[in-house]
Amino acid sequence: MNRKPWHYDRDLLRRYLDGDIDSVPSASIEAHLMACPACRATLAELSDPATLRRAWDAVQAEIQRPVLSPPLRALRRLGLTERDAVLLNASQSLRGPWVLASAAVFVFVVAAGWSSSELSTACYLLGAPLVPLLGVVGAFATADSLAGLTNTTPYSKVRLSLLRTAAVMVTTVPFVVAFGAIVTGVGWLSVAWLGPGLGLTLAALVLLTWWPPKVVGALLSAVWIVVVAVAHGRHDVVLTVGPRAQVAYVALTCVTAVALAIRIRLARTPGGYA
Amino acid sequence: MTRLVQARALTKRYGSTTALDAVDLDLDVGVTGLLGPNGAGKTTLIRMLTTAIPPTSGRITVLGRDATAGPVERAEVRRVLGYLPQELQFPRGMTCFAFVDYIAVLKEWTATAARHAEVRRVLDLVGLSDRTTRRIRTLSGGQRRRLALAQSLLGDPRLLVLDEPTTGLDPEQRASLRAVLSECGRTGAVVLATHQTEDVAALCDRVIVVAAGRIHFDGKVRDFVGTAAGRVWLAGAELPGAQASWRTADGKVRSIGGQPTEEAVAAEPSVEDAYLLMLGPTAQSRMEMAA
Repeated sequence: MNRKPWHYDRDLLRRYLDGDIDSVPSASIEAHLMACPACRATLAELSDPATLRRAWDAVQAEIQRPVLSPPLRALRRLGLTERDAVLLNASQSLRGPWVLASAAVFVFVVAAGWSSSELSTACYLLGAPLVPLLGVVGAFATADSLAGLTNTTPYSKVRLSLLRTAAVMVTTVPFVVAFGAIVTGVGWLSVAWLGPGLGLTLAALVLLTWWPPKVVGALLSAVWIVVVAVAHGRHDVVLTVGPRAQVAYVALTCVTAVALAIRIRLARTPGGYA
Repeated sequence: MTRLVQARALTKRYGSTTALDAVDLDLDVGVTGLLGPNGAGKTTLIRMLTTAIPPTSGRITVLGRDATAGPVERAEVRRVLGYLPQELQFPRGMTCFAFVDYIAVLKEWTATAARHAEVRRVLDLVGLSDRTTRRIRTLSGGQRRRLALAQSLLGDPRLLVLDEPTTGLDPEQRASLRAVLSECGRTGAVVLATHQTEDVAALCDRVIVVAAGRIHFDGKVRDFVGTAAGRVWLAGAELPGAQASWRTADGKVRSIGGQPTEEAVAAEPSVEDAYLLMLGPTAQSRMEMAA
């Protein structure tokens, strides 16, 4: 036997809409609404379209909000603005270098565990400065595919370049330093690589104002690999970060910083035509 | 009155090659079609109009702002600009919404809620409102083209420059796109670089033909079509000296140019006929490639 259909009265449904009904009877009303088109229609009549629109927009906004990578979420909690997070998320300025740093650390671990102390030191000095260098180049390479479009937007290309670079440095440098400090035989070298790391990264930014990221990454990596390989061949790999070398890196940093400033004044930035 | 866009003696050289040679151009409200074979200087002109590259010499002003003066003036020009490049390599892992949102941030939409509302609006305009959370790599070619178009519409730009916007779109999508672009052309300058002469015929009130780095024609579409009047024929066979000819569905041979025979009947010319006649065999081979 069919049960006679029944419906909630309009007054009760209005109170439900206003939130004046307790949770248990509300659950009962919602169960009924699922099965009763007539009551759903009544509820629609009583609903304020503007409120529904706002609620729907809020739901849509929540669903559409891009998912940020874990490092970006951490930086958001530390004060990174929502707009900067969108920019970094697009160029993968955090995710890529994070993976690169993890891979580099894995290589160091293998080298430290399976080789002589000298070779593990050479591996560390070879890899550590390349992590921020390739991270920065990688961030620009990811964004480079859209450069033809993004160059025509009004956003400051200088700020965009610095934001990407800073994001890579913040993500990679502490990671590699902390790891170096706990690798046997590395000791003070865990900070000594910062000299060539900074010099190479700034040189990359200057060269990115002329050449594409892949060329710049390959060129500077090759230069550093040759430097470390030659020093290792002479059984004095620490020479690459010794006092004289550090003076050379400071000079390189100063020269590249000036060169970058000049290029920016000429409207040529690593991020494109300013 | 300030012209929307004014270009004077615009020249671009790559080494010893001159891609664009002392071009003068004015643009105002309306839709302008830019026609020309590949390598004619069309894309170079577009890239300079959109401030993607600087000219070797010459000057471009947009709403009175000199795009060649320096970064500050250039940023002002970029604030009123929408640009759809011919090819766009998307970060394929991004969602549609995230991609347009990224460009919106670069276009200085600062308030998050207003920015997201604008992103939803342009995605809706191109018919992608049900694809907002889809990753770009899962989209079809036509959907990607519409996504690229969506970012160009952010903020209702006063100058909208589109390089081959209808490539990969089906007839329904093209019709829908034409409706959007004609609306944009009511309040701003829309430049449409294309190989699709039917888009020019359907949408543009003005046409510019570029070849070998120079402007060969600049005027109303009907005047352009008029240059082919009395030079397009239907006959039983190809006319002697015809620039191009093909057999139509009713069995007649349509000849562009050439010496009409006695049986030849004059046909209504089209934008494509005028284009082929103006640029000769080079244009024909380019159009066949484009088709």
